[in-house]
Parts: sequence; C-alpha cells; structure tokens
Amino acid sequence: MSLQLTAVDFTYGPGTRFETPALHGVDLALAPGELVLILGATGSGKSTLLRIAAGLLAPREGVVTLEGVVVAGPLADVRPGVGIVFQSPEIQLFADTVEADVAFGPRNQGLSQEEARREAHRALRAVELEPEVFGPRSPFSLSGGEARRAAIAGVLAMAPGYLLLDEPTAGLDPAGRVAIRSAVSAARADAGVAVVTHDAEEFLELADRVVLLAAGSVVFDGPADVLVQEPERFDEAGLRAPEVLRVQMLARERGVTLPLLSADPAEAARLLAGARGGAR
Amino acid sequence: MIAFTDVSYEYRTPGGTVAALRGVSTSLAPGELVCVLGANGSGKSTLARLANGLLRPASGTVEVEGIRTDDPEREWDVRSRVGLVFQNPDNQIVATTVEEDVAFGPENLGVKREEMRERVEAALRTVGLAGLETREPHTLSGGQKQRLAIAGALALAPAYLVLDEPTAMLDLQGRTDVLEVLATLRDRGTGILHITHHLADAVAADRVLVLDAGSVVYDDPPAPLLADSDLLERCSLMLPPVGVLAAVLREAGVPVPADALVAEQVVAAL
Amino acid sequence: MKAPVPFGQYYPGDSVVHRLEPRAKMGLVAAFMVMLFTVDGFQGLAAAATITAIAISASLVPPRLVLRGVRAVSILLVFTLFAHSLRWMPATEVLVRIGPFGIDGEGLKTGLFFAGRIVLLVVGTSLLTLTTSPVRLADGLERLMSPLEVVRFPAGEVAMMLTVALRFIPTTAEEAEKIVVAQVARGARFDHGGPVARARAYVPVLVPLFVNLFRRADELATAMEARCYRGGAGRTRLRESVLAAADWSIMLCGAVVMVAVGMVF
Repeated sequence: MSLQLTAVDFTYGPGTRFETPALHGVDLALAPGELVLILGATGSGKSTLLRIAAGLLAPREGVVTLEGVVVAGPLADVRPGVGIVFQSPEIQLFADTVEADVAFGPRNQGLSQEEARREAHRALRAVELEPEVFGPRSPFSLSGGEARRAAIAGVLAMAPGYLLLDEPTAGLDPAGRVAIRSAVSAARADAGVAVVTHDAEEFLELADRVVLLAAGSVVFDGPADVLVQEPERFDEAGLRAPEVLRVQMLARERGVTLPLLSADPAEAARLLAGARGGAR
Repeated sequence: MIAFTDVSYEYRTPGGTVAALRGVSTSLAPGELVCVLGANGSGKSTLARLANGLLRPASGTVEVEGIRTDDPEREWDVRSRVGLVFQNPDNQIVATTVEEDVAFGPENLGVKREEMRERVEAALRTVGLAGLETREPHTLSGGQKQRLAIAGALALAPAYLVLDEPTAMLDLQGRTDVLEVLATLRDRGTGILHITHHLADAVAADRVLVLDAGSVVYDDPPAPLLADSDLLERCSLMLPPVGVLAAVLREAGVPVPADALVAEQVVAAL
Repeated sequence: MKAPVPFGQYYPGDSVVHRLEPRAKMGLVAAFMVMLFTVDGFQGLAAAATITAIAISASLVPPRLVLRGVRAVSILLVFTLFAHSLRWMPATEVLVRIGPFGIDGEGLKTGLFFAGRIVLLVVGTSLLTLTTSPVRLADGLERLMSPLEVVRFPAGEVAMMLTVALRFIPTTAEEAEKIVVAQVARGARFDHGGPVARARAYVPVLVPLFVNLFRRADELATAMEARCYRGGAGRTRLRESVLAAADWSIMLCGAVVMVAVGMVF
C-alpha cells in the first residue's frame, strides 16, 4: 500500500531552447499514515516532483504506481486517492460560501449534495474551521490563514489516501502557521502526507521521514531522527540546517562533546548545558 | 524625522467603524532601523500607509520632516520623502522591464533624463540587480522582484523607507538578500520602518515597536523585549526555536544574551 | 518554472527593421496599405509582394513565423475565393462544373487577386508586431497620439494603461494556469458536456481569476500612488525614442516607392 515513484525523470520544454531538466532518477515512496518532508532549495525540482506524484505531469522516464497499479498521463484523469494542495491554494476559492467551495471536489467525485455537504463539514472540522461558523461565509471574507485552511479542506473533502502539500505555510503569520501545522499533522490519521518546503525548521519535528532534493536528485531519504544526527546533509543539499541544529554543529566544532543532537530546542539546550557542565 | 503624535485611525466597514490605531505616538529618525511587530490586525499596515500620507489620521498628526501628511498642498513632497514597499512584489511592479520600472517614480516626478539614468543605475546597484536592466520582471525570482520594488522606491531618493512585510512571500535566500539591502540602506543614513512577523528580524533593529490591537505596547531596543516571555506571549509573538533554546540555556545559567537568535551568537556564549 | 517564455508575437532581434523607430514603421505600414488598396491587377500585386519579401528578408524573421498569421485568416481566404468564383447553375461558359456548381474563370481571377491582397495585408502588418516589442509599440502609439492631447485626449494615461496591461499579461496567464491545475486536481472537467456545461465549468477558474485581478489592481493602484503617480501631466520618460534622420529617410523613401507602385499599377 503506497504511492510510489520509481526512477522518475522530467524535463521542461524538451527539444526547445527553453529545455530545463527538473528531475533525474528520483525514487519516492509514501505510505499511509506517514508524514514525509521533502526539502529542497528553490529550483531543486520539488514542486515538479509533487505534480508528478499527483498525476498532473507525466514523467518522461520512470513509473508512478498507486497501490501497486501503474498510473500515468498528464491531466488525463483525476487521480483518485491523491490530493494536492498547491502553493497559495487560496487562489482556488471561488464559490459563494466556504461550504459550497469545499464541497466542489466531492461533487465532482459524483457524491450527492447531502453526502458532499457531510464530507465538506468533516474536512472543515479537520482544519479547525467550525462548519457552522465558517460554512456559510464567503471565502473572500476569510483571513489569510483561514482561507489557506479552507482551501486545504477543499482537498481533504475528497478523502484522498495521499495528501501532497506545496509550501503550505508560505506567506502566513505565526498564528496561521501554527494552525496549518496542526491541520497537516492531523491529516496523517487518514492519509499519507507529503510536505514540500524549503524551510527545514517548520515541519522537521512532525516528520517521520525526510527526503532531501538537490538539483533534481534525491541526496537523502531516511528517518528524520537519522537526518538530525547528520545535519551536514542540509548543507550538501544547498539548504541551511535548522538554527537549533546549527547551534549544536557549531558547538561541536568548538570542541563541545555532543554524542547526540536534538531538533527539539529544550532538549538541545539540556544536551548543551550538560556537555558544558561536564567539560568543566 | 517621521513623527507620529497621538495618531488614531479607523476603517469604515458595513458594520460600523473599526479602530485600527489608537493614540499612537512614535518616531523614525534618519539612519534608524525600526522593526514593527504585531499579530495580524494589530494595525501594522495602517501605520505604514499613514507614514507616507496614503492614509490620513482621523486624529493626531503625522509629520515628515515637519510637513504634515494631511496637508493637501504637500502630498507629493511627503510621498517622495517616504518610499513604501509592499508584501507582494508582483502587485507593485508597473513596467515591462526592470530599468523602466525603477524609473517609474522619477518619471512621475518629472526628473530629467540624465539624472533619471543616474538614479536608476544607483538604485539597481544598491539592491544588487545591476546587469538585469532589460529583463522582464516576471522572469525574476521572488527575492529579485522584491529588491526591484525596493529599487523603485529608492529611485524617488527618499529619506525614509517603509516596508510592509517585504519578506513574507520569499524563500530564505530572498529574505537574506532583502535584509542585507535594508542594513546597507540604514548604514547610508536612510530611516527604515520594517514591518515584519519574523521576530528574528527584530534583532538587527535599533528599536522595536510592538502593536497590539492598535496600541503601542513596546517601543524600545530589541533585547529587553526578547527576554520578556510574558509580553511576547501577550502580543502573540513567537520566539523562533533557537530563541527557545537560548531561553532554556539562560535558565540553566548559561549567559546567552536575549537578542541572540542566530546560532553563531548563541554558541559564542557557551 | 522561470523559463523566459517568448511572449506575444514579438520575435526579438537586431535587424534594420527591428531598429527602425516604431512611428516610422507605422508610417510605412500605412503607406503599404495605401499601395495594396490602390494597385489593381496581378502585376501590382507582384510588385507589392516583392517589396514585402524584401522587408521580410531584411527583418531576419523566419518566413514561417510571418506566414503564421495567414493561417488565422485561411477561412476568410477560402471564402473570398469562392464568393468571387462560385456560380450556381451557370448559364455561361465556366472553368469547371461540379454538379449544379461551376467555377467561373474571371471570378476566380478576381478572387485570387483579393485573396492575395489579404495575404499581403496580414503579412505586412504582422511584420510590424513581430519586429516591435509591445512596449515600444505602446510607446509609439502614445507618441502618435500625443498631438491629440491638445483636444484633451489622455494619451499619457492610455499609454500607461497599455503598459500596465502588457506587464500583467504574463502574470495573469501564470495565475490562470495555476487555478486551472488546482481545479483539475479537485476534479473539475473542462471537456465534458455541451457548450453550456463547458462554459459553466470555467466558473471555478474565472471567479478567482477576476477576484485576484481586482485585488491586484487595487494594490497596484496604491503602489503607483505611493510612487507619486498622478496622471500623465508633467511626466518625463526614461526612454525617449527619437525619429532619427535614418528613420525619416527610410520611412520617406519606402513610402514614396510604395505609393508610386500603387499609382503605376
């Protein structure tokens, strides 16, 4: 049971003077209930990877399988079971009410009005927007964070087995970011979740697994715990390690003995204070 | 100097008036970098628009080098002294090439062509976009677009620059580049009002202004604010994880300064 | 993706034709039209075609691009040909008979002449848009219109509107693409049902596109105001295109030749 990409290659505008290779030999697996963080600098191919996984782009080489079945073709079909939330998804809001907007996907899936409404309410609750309060409101009256969550609900309402999100917190204020993080974390209960971002800090603590992408290739794929112990991997991928890890890396360089590193700030502080006390 | 004296402002909505700012008094001096923090809806953007006369205070006064922003005769004197940069660079770039966009402000002021050339060149050099003069704006990266917007404001030769969340939509590189430009400008004597929701940006500021529900609740150097976890929480300002690390270290007796929000500064205290 | 996608009809280059001042080019196109509408007979058409061919080769634009515009009017061409030549149950001698229809030889000649005129017209005018960037085109239009400011025609404002519109075409296209893909991912179909169903399918794309356009317009207006925009009066320009002696001489020589061709043939 998984969404799986095997040896995927992709090039934009092949054979034209705008030819730009985007992905090269990428393997990626996403299992239900897991949260995979896909990290990469701008231009590393992470958004392309997400579009291929969602079936919106066809890979030039390689195979995409969903629950073991090969699926392919650009814009050919709605890929049942894979939901994608694009960057700034609030631009997709169009209906008169939030409820009708969130029900758009389920209606397209052929659900009855009543069933679609039920799915919409479930999805709105999942992103912590009370359906009774927000359902009847115009999507254009929402704050930035609320609109973002409503748009995510619009995808969750289709009950995808796999949920892909592209920079879900970009441009939001701290409160909005917290709300999105908790919604994304909760989505794990019903789906395999992949989050694409350039900000290593934001989702690292939530992630089960991290994939580092650099210049269209996977340079790391492993448990978040393993990556935390090898923070130099971030530099290799052209990214900046989370500040908390950088503190510990720099401390090590200065001769502080830290056998283990931690991404949790309080835990990291204890490790550092302990090592410092031990050195005296 | 930009001086806010007991400034209030309210928005009219269908449901009545909503107070955006209440009795705000503060100032911005040349060569000063002031960070404005506050939750959404705390009045930050209103403050920005009041600073260059796009909005006029309901009560109180805003003066730019002694010129009142509500003096209709001096409208353009105020605007050319206070440059304004917004969050979304896509919605403030006017022209179809980089150089022509930078020239937009000076063109409006009727600046002579030779001087305009010089201003455009200087502005693009300052923001590090020299060499991209003939590029089309939509082919630039987010960070480049925002620096172009800053160049556009600089070409008006303003004494002050007000930026409303200029890095909110940028990636780390874009953010770093923009912050660097701001530091350079401050050092050259431009007064900068930087509205942000990144608490880490406050570290570089000379002063931090915290707004809560339209009122000023803090207007002092950054360090004491960053050490005051109660105040931070009350204004829904969140320390970044490294700040939490530093705070825990402080409790454990390690003398980490409160304004250390970068790994290098924290490690220096170990 | 930030690939520099070629935009509009413009084919960037540095040929004589590209460098010619837009107003001079517009003048030449006007003379070209005069020539096309005054020549009669195939000799005149051939002369006009020769002049067009010289212009195309001087522009260094691939002829296939210049001819692309002709495809757009192909239906019009076919219609022109048949309107002139097709006869219903002809009584007189005709070239070919197909059932009750006949193709009239004289009519066919007339049709070919008119069709040729349309082809040349399309080719000549597309050479203008192919070799002039939209910005310079808008600029040229503004300068052509500027005498109208005497009668209070807001030439500067109109040109500013054109420039801003041009600036936002790529941004809006990008945004439209994003919205389409997002709605497709939510199961929207644009290729199902009759024309009404299809039109309705675009509602989820058009509504957010317009809402965002208005929001953008609002923000842009504020940003322009912040940068001291107060209408066209008193504005100076960074780039002022000048009708140089070379532009004048090319325009005048070209115009004289073309008008002469129109009068002789």
